Amino acid sequence: MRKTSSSIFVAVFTIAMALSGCGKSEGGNAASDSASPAQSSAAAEASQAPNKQPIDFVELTWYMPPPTSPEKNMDNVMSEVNKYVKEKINASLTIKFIDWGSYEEKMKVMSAAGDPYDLVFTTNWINKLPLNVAKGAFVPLDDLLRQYGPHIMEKIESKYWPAVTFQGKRFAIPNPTTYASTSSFSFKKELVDKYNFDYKNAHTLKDIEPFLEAVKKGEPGITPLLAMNLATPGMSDLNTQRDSITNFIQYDLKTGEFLTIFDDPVGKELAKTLSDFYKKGYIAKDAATKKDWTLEGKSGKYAVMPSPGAYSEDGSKATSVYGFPCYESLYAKNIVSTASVQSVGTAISKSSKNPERAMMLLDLIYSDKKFFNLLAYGIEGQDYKVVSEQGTDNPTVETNAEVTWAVWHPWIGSLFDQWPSNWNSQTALDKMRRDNDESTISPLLGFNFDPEPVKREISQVQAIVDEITPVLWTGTAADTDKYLQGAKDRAAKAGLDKVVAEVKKQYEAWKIAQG
Amino acid sequence: MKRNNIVIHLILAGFALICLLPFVLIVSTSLMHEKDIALFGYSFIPKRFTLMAYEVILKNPQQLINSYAVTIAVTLIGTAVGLWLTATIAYVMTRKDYKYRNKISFYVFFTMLFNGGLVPSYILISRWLGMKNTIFALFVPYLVNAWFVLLMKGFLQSIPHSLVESAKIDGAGEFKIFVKIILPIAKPAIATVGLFMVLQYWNDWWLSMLFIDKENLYTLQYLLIRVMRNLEFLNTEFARKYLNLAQVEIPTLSARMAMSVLAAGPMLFVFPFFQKYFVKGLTVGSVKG
Repeated sequence: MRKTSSSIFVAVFTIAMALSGCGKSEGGNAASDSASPAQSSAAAEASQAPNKQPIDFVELTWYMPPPTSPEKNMDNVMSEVNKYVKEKINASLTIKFIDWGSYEEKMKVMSAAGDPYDLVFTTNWINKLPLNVAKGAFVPLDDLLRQYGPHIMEKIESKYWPAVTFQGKRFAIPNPTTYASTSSFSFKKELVDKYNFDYKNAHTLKDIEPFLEAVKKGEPGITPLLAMNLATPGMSDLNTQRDSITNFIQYDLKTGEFLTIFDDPVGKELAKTLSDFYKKGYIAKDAATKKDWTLEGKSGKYAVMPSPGAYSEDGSKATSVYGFPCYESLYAKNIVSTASVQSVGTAISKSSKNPERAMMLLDLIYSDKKFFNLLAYGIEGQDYKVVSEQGTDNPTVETNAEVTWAVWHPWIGSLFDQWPSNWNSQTALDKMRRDNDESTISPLLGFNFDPEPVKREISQVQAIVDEITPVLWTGTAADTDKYLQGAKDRAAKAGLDKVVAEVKKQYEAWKIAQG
Repeated sequence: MKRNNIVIHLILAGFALICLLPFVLIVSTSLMHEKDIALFGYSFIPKRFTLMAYEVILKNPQQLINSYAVTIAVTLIGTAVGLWLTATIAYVMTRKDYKYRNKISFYVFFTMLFNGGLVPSYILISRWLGMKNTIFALFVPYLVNAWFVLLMKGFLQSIPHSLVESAKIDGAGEFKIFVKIILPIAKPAIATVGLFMVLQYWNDWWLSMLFIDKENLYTLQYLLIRVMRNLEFLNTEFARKYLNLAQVEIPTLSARMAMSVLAAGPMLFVFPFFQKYFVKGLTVGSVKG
């Protein structure tokens, strides 16, 4: 017994020694071949005439968060995809899904360490584009686009490119999607029908008041309005056009001025309306301390609930979110801003050894609808079935009840190249496209505020904002004016003016650079 | 006398119950319908009984079994190798006749205060040592922990040096002294540090996140955390933008609890075995005889 235990220790010890030994020799190789080929192959590719069939076989990796999980049919789909990729651009594609919580951290570390990867999912909300550009993690795409991306240039309207342009260079492909987000009141259908409320013409908090009053009187178990911090519905209106610079500073398109949350007349008016509602008992007593609005909404104890994320005329979005029949009415339509265009995009990593081939792959996605939809919907018969127009380049499909494979179309290409399906009907797609075309584009498109110089002040003011919004947007402050004034004084001490000045300074500098 | 005992027992039983109740709540919540949680809050007796949360998590049982295997392997190998390394380093640090004792002590201590940081560590493991996507990346980085070394050193210091000397006189070599004399005496200390290491390896998902892209090498905790986060995402506005999830009720809250049950379960059984050493280990500083 003793003999064996000591020999195990010896064995373990030798393994540890051997490990560190072989590791070193491998490391030498890895370090030496990671640096040079990137440059040499780039040079070789560049000297080739464009549009020529690439010769060397290369492997491409694409990092993104998992669109849905588990991706059961991944192996089959990827082998089908790779047959295609091999034939068209003599490459292979590996998609790596990194879970939501780890994605940002992982990409940060990989970029900092110079780990090779080719394509990456970048947005303004996760794996942020401006930060990556500032750190030099991505390659500028202009030359690559000119040489290898004609279809991309064709499908993305020139008016949207400024949002991903930094110092005159494009750093990401802003995949076309719904750029102008919409918000709507969600009404519990049962109650609207019962009280015969004309929800279609109710677009502001004031408009819905008669309904709230009726519910308050007639339904003792129901809270008329679900108000909860930033989710409170109706906190903007159809006449207001704003571009958010930070969480508490907005640019008003009409006046051309920067407004803070503390001196925004529209917001103040709405807060007062909410306060009135609260006093009349339309809002739950403990609304200020609630956290999860979907959960609250699902309970079915409310008559009017927050926006389900986007407006749907038939109430289907709200119905799907809350789990019981709902109506919706539009209350806000946002403008096309830097943030909304950056909301989903693809970039090519600086550590990529084959940026040309990566761009070719993207162009293939933009040019070949069949390939694009294969990548997004999966394989016919396994992941979806064709409903009509079989054999055309725009068939209508229906995915399995249990999703076995999905990559949301805008994550990799243009939403408007999507085959109509149970995800989006052709009518819905056309409507979204029309909405995009009709939306106001922010004059600040392309302006990325860099919070770094006033980081400390921002976090201090943000703390005050985080403290007041749950109170203000539920109407639970005893005296709205006084409460807001108190918060404003504290924010002033925390350096609000400095932040505003910095925003203005950067804005002026950006404007001059635009010419 | 008897009566006193009953009172004490009642108090202790009450205390035990207080410790137990949260876990019971976790188990029963994991069996609840998502909607019932929203409507009635957490409760000890599920209104309607469902295994949906477990179904969602265990959708792919092969993956779960695989991850269990990886975690168990990593925990066993990591703890065994780690304990050996920790004990040997700590031992030489306690030997007064070892010339570089202070230097090594300082070196160990120094790494407690300063470390390379995330990116250099990542480069070291993934590129220089080439351990990315191998099982080594899951235990090598945690093999020697400065804090555990110092803890072990504290234990070993209480062993009188004369023991080593007498063994030497009896003709034992250094290696034999360590394995046959020091280690058996240090059993409680090894059990204590060993338990720490087991917990560290068992609960780790960070290393998998950084270094593992292959699903067949995911550790249990990483697998669970991944399922959880993806479920959470499916419940957000972003997901709804892309997919109509009308018919699906996604169990986020109950799944969270079901996951705790699956992840914590085995540890609940391991802990009592270590416990007797654990107490001894903490008091080992008081020298016997």
